[in-house]
Amino acid sequence: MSGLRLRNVVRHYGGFTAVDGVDLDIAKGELVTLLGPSGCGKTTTLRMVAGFMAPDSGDILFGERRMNDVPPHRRNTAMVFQSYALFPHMTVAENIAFGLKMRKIPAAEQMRRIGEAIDTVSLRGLEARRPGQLSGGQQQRVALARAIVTQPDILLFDEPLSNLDAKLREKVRLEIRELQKRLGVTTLYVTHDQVEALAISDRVVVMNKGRIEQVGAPEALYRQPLTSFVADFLGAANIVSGTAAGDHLVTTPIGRFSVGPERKLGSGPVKISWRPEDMRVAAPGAEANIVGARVRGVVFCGSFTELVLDVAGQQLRAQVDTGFRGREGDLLDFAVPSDRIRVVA
Amino acid sequence: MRTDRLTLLLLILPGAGFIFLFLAAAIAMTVLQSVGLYSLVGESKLTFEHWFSLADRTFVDSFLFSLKVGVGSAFGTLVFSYPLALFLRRRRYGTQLIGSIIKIPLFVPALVAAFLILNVLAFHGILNSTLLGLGIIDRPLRMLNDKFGWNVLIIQIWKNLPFQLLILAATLESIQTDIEDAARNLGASPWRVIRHIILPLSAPGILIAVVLVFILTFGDYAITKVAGPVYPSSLSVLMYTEAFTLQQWGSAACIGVVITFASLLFVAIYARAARAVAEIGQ
Repeated sequence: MSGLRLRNVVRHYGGFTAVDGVDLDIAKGELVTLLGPSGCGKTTTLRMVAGFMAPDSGDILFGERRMNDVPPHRRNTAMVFQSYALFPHMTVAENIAFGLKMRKIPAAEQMRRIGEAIDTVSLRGLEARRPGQLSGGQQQRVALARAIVTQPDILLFDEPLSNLDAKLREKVRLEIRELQKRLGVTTLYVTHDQVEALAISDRVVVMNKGRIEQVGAPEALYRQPLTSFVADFLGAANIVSGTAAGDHLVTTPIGRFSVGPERKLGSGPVKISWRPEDMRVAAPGAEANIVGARVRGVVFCGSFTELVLDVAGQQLRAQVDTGFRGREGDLLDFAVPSDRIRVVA
Repeated sequence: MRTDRLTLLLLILPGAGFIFLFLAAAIAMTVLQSVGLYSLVGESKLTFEHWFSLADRTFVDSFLFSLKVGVGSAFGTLVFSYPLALFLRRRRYGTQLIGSIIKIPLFVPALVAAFLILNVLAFHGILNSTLLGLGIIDRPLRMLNDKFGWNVLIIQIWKNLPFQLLILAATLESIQTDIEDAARNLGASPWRVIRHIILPLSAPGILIAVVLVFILTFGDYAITKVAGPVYPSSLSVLMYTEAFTLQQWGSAACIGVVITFASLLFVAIYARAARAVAEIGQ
């Protein structure tokens, strides 16, 4: 088992730069997620780690070993595919055995490890079935068992949950995380689902247009986005352009905001961002960071109520508790706590 | 649901009905003629003498020759078509051009193909002239009308290669690249990916390709007539000789029945193979 390092990795497709200088260190046993919209280069990066394609420049290292020229079958990675990619002509047991057979593991040990893997993913009794006779969730388990049974140095996931329904997705997400922690295997996980990324990862890598926008622990990334792209991609964000006016003050078309103390601003144009759930209906008499907004929409979402607000032509979103009794057309004051406002690029 | 079925039936009736009617009628006539009924020459009476007359050396030799050409062409073509299909599978520079050139024999009728290759392989043909000119051989090689039927096999392979290639390419196309990637990822070298994944998954397609070429070549007339050995002839050539040279319509009908039912037997195998393909596809 080893860590994974990417050094300035670049990959082109024809004239298109899919991955544009990615640098990333993943520690032993860490689960890191590549998150981004389609075409951001996350799957290409994953496929380069697996060895299905070579970087045009840069290095891929497992531990200290440079892997660029090592073919996929000598890399000791194991991948769970979005389509599961089970072998349709083999039974569940044969599918799981495949990696062991290729590694010429003795038959007795094969039996033992296959049995273990089948128990781990709770597939007892289905060993003799073909993939075509299994449900989507069961196929997903076979794919997972087939990957972990080989005891890979690096475990790779390519949107493994996207073909499952929402309920099952949450359950399997937890199971994958638990299993990964127990095995302590270095894991690279690709998804475009921000909730999945936040829930499963030690660290999340947000990618955009082939580049890394920001790397961080889920909460840090969510609370302290550095760019408007990250703020907007991870959850929803209200992003407002303005001008710095002093160290902790930003003037915008919708009012003046005092911002958190951890960063000094110079002068010139800046963007500020805050989460919809950080907006509150202002208490009477409050003065700091007040926005007078017209309520344009009230949407009941179960555990919270979502408001669509209009402030001098700029649309904002707020999440308030379900006790909210305002109506469309109301003019209300909202407060944004200064420590929740982030200055973003 | 009921009207849907009726509509479907009406839609396929013109095509399928036409084929069924003529096929059934022709097969029935031939079978009847082989036992002396419906005779076109002489009187009609039930007899098995035509069938007994087949039990001679000439028929057996022709049957074995046709079987040899059928099996030899089917598998001989596969030896070339499968590796080629594997190679053409990945789109690389030039594969499209190669793929197009290879399809040319599809558009050349069998008789024309036989004559074309005749010119190459003949006693004073292009190949012999070249070899003589280069001083590699002293005397022209006899490559035509040889007793074994090598030249028939060569022409059949040339002619049927694109046909098998089309079937195999479609079969290989249907294997998801993810499945291949998964095998490589789990430690299979390129050769083992072919052996453990691609070969078994394309086996039904291989069977179809082999059976179809067998049926096409087992009943061949033109190529054997032009390039085949003087003796034995293929079943189709023998059938023609019996009917038009020897006026033995009854025996000819018997041979026709043999060719048809041998082919039908292989169609049955083909149908099973097609079902297996459908199952794996699920």
